[in-house]
Amino acid sequence: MANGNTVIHKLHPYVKSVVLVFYLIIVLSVSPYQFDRLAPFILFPAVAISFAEIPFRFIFHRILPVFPFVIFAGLSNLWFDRRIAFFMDSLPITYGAVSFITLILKTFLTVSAVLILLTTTPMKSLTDFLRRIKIPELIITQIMLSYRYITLLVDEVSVMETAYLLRSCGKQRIELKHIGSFIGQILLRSYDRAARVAFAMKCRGYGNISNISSSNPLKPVDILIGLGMIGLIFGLRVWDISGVLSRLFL
Amino acid sequence: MITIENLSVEYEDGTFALRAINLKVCDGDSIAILGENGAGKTTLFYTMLGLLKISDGKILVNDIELSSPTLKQIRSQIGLVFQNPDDQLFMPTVEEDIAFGLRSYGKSEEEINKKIRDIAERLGIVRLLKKAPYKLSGGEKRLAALATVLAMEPQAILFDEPSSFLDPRSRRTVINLLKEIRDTKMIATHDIDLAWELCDRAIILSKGEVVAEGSIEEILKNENLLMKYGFELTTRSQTDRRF
Repeated sequence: MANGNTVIHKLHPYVKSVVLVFYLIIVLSVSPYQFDRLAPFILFPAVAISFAEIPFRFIFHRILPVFPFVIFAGLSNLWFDRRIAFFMDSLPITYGAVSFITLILKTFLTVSAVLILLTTTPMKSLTDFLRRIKIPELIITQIMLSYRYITLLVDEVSVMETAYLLRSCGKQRIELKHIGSFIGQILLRSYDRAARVAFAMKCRGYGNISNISSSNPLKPVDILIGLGMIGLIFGLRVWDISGVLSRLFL
Repeated sequence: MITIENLSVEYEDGTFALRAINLKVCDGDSIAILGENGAGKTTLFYTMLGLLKISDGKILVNDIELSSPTLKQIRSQIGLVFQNPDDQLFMPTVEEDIAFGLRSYGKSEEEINKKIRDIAERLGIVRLLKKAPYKLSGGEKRLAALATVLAMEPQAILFDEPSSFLDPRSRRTVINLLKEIRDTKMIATHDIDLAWELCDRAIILSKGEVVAEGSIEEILKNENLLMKYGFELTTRSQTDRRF
């Protein structure tokens, strides 16, 4: 999906990365009690998903696993912050509930933006960008290896799970009493494989990777689009668009 | 030329993985390293690349002794194709994997791109370059792994079980490719037919020791020797005897 041919795919990776970082900062800077101010920022992922022709379901499925953690973290807000923010008809809405909704919205916006970048940009372009902004080579290699290694680990878990289920008399999942040894085996196998991958890297001279230059030069139109997007995001943050719209229509 | 003199590798618990190995590999040689599982074939390869510590003896590559200061130089002259391509393909795409070794040795981007293109065309894997390694079939992974080593143009290539995990057609593709490689080759394998087709010399390793050495015909036609070290007769040697 990263090698598509849409406007978003064609946009220079550096521009996409800079706009993304700016977007993340701006979204995260919104106060936890102003969830209404986040509404206009949905525009960014919505337009990007549409232009990049990414199925919404694809993004949604990848965001879902994050929500249990966020909901768990946000539940304490509901409990500890019980001051009344406003009434919806006669139903009191607490500041805790408002900050909880803000947290969910921020998670949705930021994670979807990162996913859009990852889906529309080849990993090589992203690592090129990281090198350009002088991120240490060690960190970049870690990112690339993690990206590759996750799939190997998933394969490893899947093979072990299949082997377990085939010999477990029709059980549907791994029993609690076996989880410990299962995880232990995965770690041992992962360690073993990591050692072999390290050998493969050493065999090919790992340790002195030189910086690389991007073969995709930055064009003026990319810069203009990037500046335009940054301006739009900044505008959405500075002006209370949702407030203006609500005053106009309500 | 690779010279291995009295090489021993000992594990921390005192057991020997390799014991007093002597071997001379001349330029252009194609040598089969035969042996049962655990005989020390992979250990020998790892040791030749300085991945495992030598307990005794020495390894010389073009008269340069393997040691910490010469590691980089020796690893640029000897390539290793791993038994499991998943261990060898660790970058997000095949293209980046091929580029990895070249970048490590400081080649220019222009040179890297040219070599990637050349090697991909030679192995017929141009369509795989942008793909993630985990999406490839077993045969495609093997070709991609081979490309990562060939791109570095080593003088000698060590192949660890090159036909494992392959279906007959992929195995044939790999054998044909290996036949075309004119560099020095050392092939660790259980696949006697492959050894017969590709190699002109063979050694048999057992429990870390060289127990037989000779021309491929001498070794593979010696029924007693093969049976003793856990091999089955090759289809070719059987055919030769029949006619």
